[in-house]
Amino acid sequence: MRAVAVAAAGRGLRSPAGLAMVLLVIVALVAPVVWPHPRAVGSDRLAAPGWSHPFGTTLLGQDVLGQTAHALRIDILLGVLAVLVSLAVGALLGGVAGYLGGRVDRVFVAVADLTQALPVALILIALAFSLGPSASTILIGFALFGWLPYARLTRTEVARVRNLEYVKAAELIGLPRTTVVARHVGPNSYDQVLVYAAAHVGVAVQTIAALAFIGVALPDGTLEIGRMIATGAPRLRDAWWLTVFPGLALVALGVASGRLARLAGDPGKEY
Amino acid sequence: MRVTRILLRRAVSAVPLLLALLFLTVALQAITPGDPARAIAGPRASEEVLAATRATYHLDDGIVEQFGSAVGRALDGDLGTSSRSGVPVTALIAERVPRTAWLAALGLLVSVLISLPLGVWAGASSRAARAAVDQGSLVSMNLPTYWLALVLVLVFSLRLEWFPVGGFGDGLGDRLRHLVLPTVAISAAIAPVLVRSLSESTARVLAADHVMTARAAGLGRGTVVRRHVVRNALPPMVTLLGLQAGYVVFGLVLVESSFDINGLGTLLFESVRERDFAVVQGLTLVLGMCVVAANLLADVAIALLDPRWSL
Repeated sequence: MRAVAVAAAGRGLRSPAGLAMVLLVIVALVAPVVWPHPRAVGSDRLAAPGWSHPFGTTLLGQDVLGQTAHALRIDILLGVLAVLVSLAVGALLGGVAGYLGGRVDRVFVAVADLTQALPVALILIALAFSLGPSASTILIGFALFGWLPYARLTRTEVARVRNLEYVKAAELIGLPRTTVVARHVGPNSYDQVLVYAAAHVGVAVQTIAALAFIGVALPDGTLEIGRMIATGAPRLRDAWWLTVFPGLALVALGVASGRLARLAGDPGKEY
Repeated sequence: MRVTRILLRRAVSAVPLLLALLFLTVALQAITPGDPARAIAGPRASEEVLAATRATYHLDDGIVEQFGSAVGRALDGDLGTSSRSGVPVTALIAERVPRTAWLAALGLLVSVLISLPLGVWAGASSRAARAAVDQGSLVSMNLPTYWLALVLVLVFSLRLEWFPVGGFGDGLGDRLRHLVLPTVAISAAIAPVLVRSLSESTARVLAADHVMTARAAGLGRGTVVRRHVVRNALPPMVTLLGLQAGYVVFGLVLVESSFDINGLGTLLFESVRERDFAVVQGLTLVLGMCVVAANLLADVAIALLDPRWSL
């Protein structure tokens, strides 16, 4: 299993989508080094894209490319954290349901069906409205409402694996349940979940950026792609680069993320 | 008769969901930092208004009492009053529903009209064609709706001046002209998901045994597509539509605010900005109900399409 995952990862990373993803992540990572002062006011105000400022400048003369890189950093970071949080909660709930089966599992299915139709994005808006916009609010929201797909996948995989012979053997010889889960069930259940998580990062980032556009994601003044698009919107006529380029970065991220997930062998999963 | 039975069963199972939604909006009162009465009544409310709010919403009691009172009020059709305008929330919502409904209907219609032929064609074509359509869908899905809306306005309204920048329009022709760009923006989010699903189901059905038999017996491609593919490929698409309802509603919110269409989406936007608690609560509930209703309709539609399916 592990060898297959590593091979798939290698294949993925060498593809155009993988390279794009790597590039975007690198840009995000080195942002503080290459563009140490994204908010530094400059003399060249509202300049169109050119050699010195490939993405143009803002009203205050700030370099849009540098700002986009920083904003991308925040978004990728938040997106990955959001997915990790959803994954953790979901894997725990789904794993328990899949492993124990019986009544626990039935309760799980009932709860899952109930929460399935809940409009997550709307609830996130309401949540952020109450708790105030911040990174922790977003993560709490994802933890509370984003776990379902992960729980479902984990439950199916765990239920399948636990019926395999060597797992039953492990149980029969008296290994404590935690050991069985950690050593045998766990490592063989996570493939599908990881693939889904990879695609989900793209979706999570899009959702967070959309919430930021409305104004309910991060505190005012944080450099974030949705926010950049929102602040650039009033100047669309005269300074289109303020809106267009940050959005393109988001599109690139989402497409790369989606392609990678497909390549890793998931035949058309919808988010 | 069968349809009625299914409809009733789904409606019944939707009730706990609606209650859960209502509970969530009540929970908002509980978790808001500061004085919830102040949050609901607004920053300029007097002491009497605050006291009255506390009484109506049972804010001094436990969450169970608050939930109970919310259920009672909801059944009475009372969703509170806007602290910004003093207008009852239900009136505010009712006033704006038609606009959102127009956009939603147009968006869905155009999405289905595009995705049905495209998806089925892709499924029936070569692997290369399917891959190309798939790639295009992936890109379209990842265009942030609010960003796409702005780009469309930039190109088609500001530069080319083919369409108005925003607003809703008067009279059928003018309205349609105003809604072209918003509809494109919304469809770009919905259609790709449907296309992918249809493409895959069509390909799968066409490879199935009973279809190959039909083809071997000499049935033309068109007939095969019509009789077998459409009936079998539609249910997953409809399920998807239901599941996507939450995202569709969210997309509507985004598109409305980009195009200055004063519908429910703009209302949500403004209410969040102006901290109008009651409206945000009411809208979350109503929009949530729409999503639940959409899921329900999707289930019924599948039941109608596929006689084997009976819940």
